[in-house]
Amino acid sequence: MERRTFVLSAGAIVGGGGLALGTGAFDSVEAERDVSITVADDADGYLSIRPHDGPNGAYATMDDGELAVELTDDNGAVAGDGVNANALTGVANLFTIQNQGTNEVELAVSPLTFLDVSGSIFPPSIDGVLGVLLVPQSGSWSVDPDRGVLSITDLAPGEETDFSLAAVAFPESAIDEVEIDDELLITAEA
Amino acid sequence: MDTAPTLADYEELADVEIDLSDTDLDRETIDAELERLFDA
Amino acid sequence: MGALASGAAAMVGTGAFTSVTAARDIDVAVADDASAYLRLKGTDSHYVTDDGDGGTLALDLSGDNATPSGGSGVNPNAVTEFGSLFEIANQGTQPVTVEVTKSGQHPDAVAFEDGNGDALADGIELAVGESADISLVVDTTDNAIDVDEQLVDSVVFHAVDN
Repeated sequence: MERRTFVLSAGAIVGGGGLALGTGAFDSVEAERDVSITVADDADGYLSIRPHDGPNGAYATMDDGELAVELTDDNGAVAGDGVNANALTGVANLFTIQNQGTNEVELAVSPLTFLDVSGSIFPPSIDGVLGVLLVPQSGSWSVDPDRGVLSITDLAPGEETDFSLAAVAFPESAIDEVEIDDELLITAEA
Repeated sequence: MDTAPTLADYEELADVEIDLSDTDLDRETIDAELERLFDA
Repeated sequence: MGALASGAAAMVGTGAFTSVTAARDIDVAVADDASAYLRLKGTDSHYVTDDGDGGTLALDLSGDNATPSGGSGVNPNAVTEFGSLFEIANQGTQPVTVEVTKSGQHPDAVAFEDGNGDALADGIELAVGESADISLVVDTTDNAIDVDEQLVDSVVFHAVDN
């Protein structure tokens, strides 16, 4: 009887080990699972960054799947080679950012102000000023002094916002003298 | 904010001041254009 | 472990991202009037002092730009017409209406007209790629205009999508 009890006890210990295995107390398990991650171009990404559907979307290009704002003679889709000097140029509906994910996100775009100034401090003279301002066309924006960005809160899944651009260039000598060749940073956080 | 940003907002963001005194452009014209773009 | 992996896969697959950061190029150039989105290109007329090729369009019908034979302005009490001084062209992406506003002592004495005789002050429509030849009509028959007065010192062109 005693021996039989012992055997049962041993069985109980083995059984306990089996339960432990079920909760993950094991040395090694190899289990292959499919995890598929594809790199989409900007238009099809979870954060879609794309030229606007309208005619002014031509001022933005898609190069290797990445959006670029291109108001220069490198943009073959537009006849003009740049903004006029001594002028204010506005380009409405330039590009679109859409949340194609499943979470609501806060979208931040920075900087919004791009500035190139050419001239001398002494004697003081200005050869050229080019200011480029990005304008959100969505109802919610805010100045954040800490991050220096504009935020568009509450971009729900499927929701999108369009961006415009305003450029100020002066004086006449700004022609071919000043240029914006920069990057904008687009961040979406859930 | 639900209103269009003004040139002053952009200057604050970039910590710059754009001197328009030598141009035919004025702040009212630029702010009006920013509002037009914002509402586009 | 297997369950977790499946969960992660599902998360990626449905796009429940927590953060996306992307840096994108922005390039903007300042072009001369001849090649900018609103093209303003002067003809080789004597009265065009900057044709917009390498600069911004400028016209001068004053003693500062006298003709070789000595003309230094329009006649008093007369209507003077200058054909084809410059071209306006839409080198952007949308149809636009171009208007001009003039500033000076007698802006109403100066009229810019396209080839059809339509006044630029009333706005002329330009499709993408379309251009208009602009002429100038100066009417000094108004008695309020005196000899040696400067009629107009600058004009502003507005091009706005329709």
